[in-house]
Amino acid sequence: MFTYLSHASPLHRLNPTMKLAAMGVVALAATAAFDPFIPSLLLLALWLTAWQVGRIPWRQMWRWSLPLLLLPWPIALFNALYADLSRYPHPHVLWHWGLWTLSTEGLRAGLGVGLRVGVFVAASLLFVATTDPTDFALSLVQNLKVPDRFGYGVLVSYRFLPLLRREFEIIRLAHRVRGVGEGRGWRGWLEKTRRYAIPLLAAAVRKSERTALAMDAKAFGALPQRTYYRLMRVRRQDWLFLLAWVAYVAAVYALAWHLGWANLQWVPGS
Amino acid sequence: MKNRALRYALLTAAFLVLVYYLAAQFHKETAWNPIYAGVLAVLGLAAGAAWGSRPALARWRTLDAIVAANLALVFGLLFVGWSMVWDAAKPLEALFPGARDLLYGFWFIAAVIAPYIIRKPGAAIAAETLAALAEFLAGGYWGLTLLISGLVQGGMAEVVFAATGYKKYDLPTLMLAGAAAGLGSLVVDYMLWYNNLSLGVLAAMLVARLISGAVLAGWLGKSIADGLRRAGALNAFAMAQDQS
Repeated sequence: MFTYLSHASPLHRLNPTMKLAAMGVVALAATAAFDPFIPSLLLLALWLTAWQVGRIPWRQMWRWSLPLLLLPWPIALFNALYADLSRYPHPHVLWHWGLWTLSTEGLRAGLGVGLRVGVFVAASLLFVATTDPTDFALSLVQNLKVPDRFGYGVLVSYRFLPLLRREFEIIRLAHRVRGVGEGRGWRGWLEKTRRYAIPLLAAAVRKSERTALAMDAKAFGALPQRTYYRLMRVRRQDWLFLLAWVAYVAAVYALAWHLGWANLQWVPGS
Repeated sequence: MKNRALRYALLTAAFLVLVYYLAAQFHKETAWNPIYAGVLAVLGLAAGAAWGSRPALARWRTLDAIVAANLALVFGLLFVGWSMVWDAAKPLEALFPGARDLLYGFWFIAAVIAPYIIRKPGAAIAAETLAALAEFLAGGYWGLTLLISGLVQGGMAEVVFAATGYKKYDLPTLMLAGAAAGLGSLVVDYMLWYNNLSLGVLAAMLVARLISGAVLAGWLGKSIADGLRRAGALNAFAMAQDQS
C-alpha cells in the first residue's frame, strides 16, 4: 500500500530504529485508550508530521489517506455489535436482535478502536514512506544487534524483489502456454495458490543457494569482528524525535484525563 | 544448550503471571482476571522464546539464513495478497463471529515451512518475523502491528518445536505449531482490537484460529514443502536427509 519515497526531509535523516521506537510509543499509547478522543489527537499529529516534516507530497498523502478513511469502519462496527456490555453498569441499548446488540457504549468503544486502526495505519505510513529499506536493515544489524547473517539476508532478498516479480510473470506464462486451466471457486483458488507457490519458492531456494555460496566464498562472517561501510549512528536529533513523541503522548493523556474523557480500561482503578 | 528457547519461554511466562498474581494480591485496585493472566502467559512464552533463540541464530549456516530471508520475502508478499482475501471475507465476520477466522491460519505458514525445511532452533521465529517485516515494508494494511504479530505467532510456534527438542517434524507437530501460532495471534489481536468483545465471541474466534492454524499453516505448509522436496529444490537442507 505505502512505498518508500526517496526525497530528502528531516524524517528521512533519522535513525530507522529510533524512528520505529517512536512510532511504537505512539502505537502503544493508542492501544491503551478506549475513547475516541486520545487516538484522534494522535492520528492528527502523525498525519501532520508525515505531511509537513516528512514532506510527503500532498497528492500522495491524499491517496494514502483514503484507506485511512475506509479501513476503520468495519472493525468499529464489529466491536460495536459484539461489545461486552456486562462491563457497563447501565448500558444504553439502542437496538437488539438475535446475536446483535447496538448500544451507545459499544458504539463509543467501537469508534475508539476504529480510530486506533487509523493511528496504526498513519504510523506505518510515516515510517515506510520516509525510511530507506536498506538503511532499515543496516540499522537493525548495527543498533538492534540482529545477527548480521539475517540482516544481510534481508538485504539480499530485498534486492531480489524485482526478480521475483519477473519470475511470477514467467510462471504465469508457462502455465498458460501449457494450457493449465484456471480453477473456479475456493478449491480452484487454493490449487492455483499451490501451483504458483511451489515454483516461486523453488526459485527463491535456488537463488539463496547461489547467493550463500558466493557469500561463503568471500568469507562472510568467517572472522569474529565485523566492519561496516555505512555506519548507522543514533544522534541527538533521534533522541529529540523520540522524546518529542513521548512528551506529546503524555500531554494528550493529561488533557484527556483532565477533561474526563479518557477511558483506560486496563489501568487499575480507572 | 539446545532448549534454551524453551527454558526462557517458560521462565518469562511464569515471571509475568507471578508478578500479576502478586499485584492482584497486594494492590487493592488490581483485580485478578484469568484472561489477562492467559494473555501475559502467552506473551511471556513468545517473548522468552524469541529472546532465547538469539544465540542459536548466530550459529546458523549462511545458506540457512539466506534461505529463511528469501522464503520470508515470498511469504510476506503472499501475506499482502492474503489480506485481500481477508477483506473479501468481511461479510462473514458481521454475520457470524469467528467464521472469518477460519481463514486466518495462512498467515502462520512461514512459521511452519521454515522450521520444517531448515530444522534448526530459531527457524520459526526468524522466518515469521522476517515475513511480517517484508509484509510491513511492502505496505501491508496493519503496519507496525504486523511486527508484533509476527514475533508472537513465530514465538508460539517456536515454543512447540523447542518442546520436542527440535527433533520431531511430523504432521501432528507441525499442526500443533500452527495452532499455537493461532493462539498467539488471537492474544495480540485481543490486545490491539478485540478487548471490548464478549467472551462467547472470543471463544468462537479462538476455536476457529486453532483449527485454521493447524490446517492452513500446519497441513498446507507441509504439503507445499513436500512439493518443494519432490521438485528437488531442498537437497542442500536437513529435511532432505530425513524421511518423516
